[in-house]
Amino acid sequence: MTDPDLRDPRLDHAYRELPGDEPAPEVDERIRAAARRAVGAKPQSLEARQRSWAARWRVPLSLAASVVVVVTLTLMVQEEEHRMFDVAPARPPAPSAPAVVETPVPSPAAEAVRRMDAEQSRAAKPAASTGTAPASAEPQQAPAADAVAPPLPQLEKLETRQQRLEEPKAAGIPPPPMAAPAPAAKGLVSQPSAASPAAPSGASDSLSRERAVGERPARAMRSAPQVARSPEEWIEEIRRLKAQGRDADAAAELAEFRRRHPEYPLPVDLAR
Amino acid sequence: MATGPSDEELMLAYRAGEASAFDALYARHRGGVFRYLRRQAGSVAVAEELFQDVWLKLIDARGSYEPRAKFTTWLFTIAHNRLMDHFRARSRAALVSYDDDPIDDVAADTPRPDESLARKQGAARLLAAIDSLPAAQREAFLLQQEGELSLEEIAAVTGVNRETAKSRLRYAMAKLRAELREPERT
Repeated sequence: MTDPDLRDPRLDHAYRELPGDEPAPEVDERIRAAARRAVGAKPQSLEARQRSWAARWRVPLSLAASVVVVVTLTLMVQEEEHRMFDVAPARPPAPSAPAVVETPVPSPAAEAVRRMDAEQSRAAKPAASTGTAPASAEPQQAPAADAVAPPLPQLEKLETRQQRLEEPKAAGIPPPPMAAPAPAAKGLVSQPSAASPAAPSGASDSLSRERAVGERPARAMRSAPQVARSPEEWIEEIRRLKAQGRDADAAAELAEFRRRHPEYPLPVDLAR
Repeated sequence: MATGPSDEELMLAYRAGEASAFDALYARHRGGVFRYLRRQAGSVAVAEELFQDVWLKLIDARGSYEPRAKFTTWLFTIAHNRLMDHFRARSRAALVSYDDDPIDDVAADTPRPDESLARKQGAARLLAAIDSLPAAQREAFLLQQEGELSLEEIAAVTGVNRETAKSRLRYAMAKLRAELREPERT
């Protein structure tokens, strides 16, 4: 607006010298408050608002994410542990211990192992009280297959041993030595080399229960190799059987002996 | 001369939710808008009422603000419209003669009590001279002085063409210069 008719510096100056009328402070405050209410915020710059929003929510969101992760991982671990514990009881005991499982009748091996463990525990207590030899004795002649045999063969072996526990006890003969059971199978009555007194009746109860599950003929079980016996002990047992008139049993034992120890020179009285 | 963000930038920031941008805008233009209204409305109370309405209307319209023109053009357009609404509602005689005919301007002759002291000073004569201008000329002069608007912007605010705005402003300037040159009336 350069037209002098439209702009006069003197007039401009004179106008600026006029009293500066202004609105009252309360009018100012009302207007400013309305402006703030309209944008829903306290007086704050846009950048500060953005920053404060991010700062306000950064920590809570981080915590929430951490909680979710931790809870998820915890649940996953617990689920895994439960799954493992569900499976664990079904596993057979340590390899060195005879697996106590059911007879060849088709039954879950895990179920039998668990039951046998319970029985052995009961049998071990009385056995311990009678001074039964510790279960740590290792059979010197125990075939290596016994320690690593699958459940079924060990079942047969164990039942045979259990059977033998009864018979020698009944006949007053010390039970044949057996393989050293694992700690889980410590209830099993061991067969030390030294003669031991008869096992208490508690063991026989468990044995009868085992038999009730499904068992082989006693002869077949009895003919299972006695891993805890030495050949000499075995020979002696065979002789005892013959002396008792149990020729059939003696023959079965002898056959088993020959199978186990084909190279062992049989005594004359048994060689026939 | 102005440093920092422009009026348009501040208004856009306020539209985006930055309340402090409004505070800056308000501080810049509160005096000019108030004086523009005060020197046409006839009383301080009416001027404050109109003044508040103008800013509230601006706040309400922030969402649709687009920097197509100067911010002050938009602001004083709101103020002009509010003033016209007031005149229509009050049926003031000045509204009837809101033309370029100075003879029909009556309101400008009404002395304002709050200006009795200013009249004793040189500035009082100017105020009285401004007050004596026809409404349309007075408004054109005030838009130039308080809003620092160009002819085109004055025309846009008052809803007339550039030549009409120019004529109104020229007449106003001439009268005010003459008033300043004239000795004080008794």
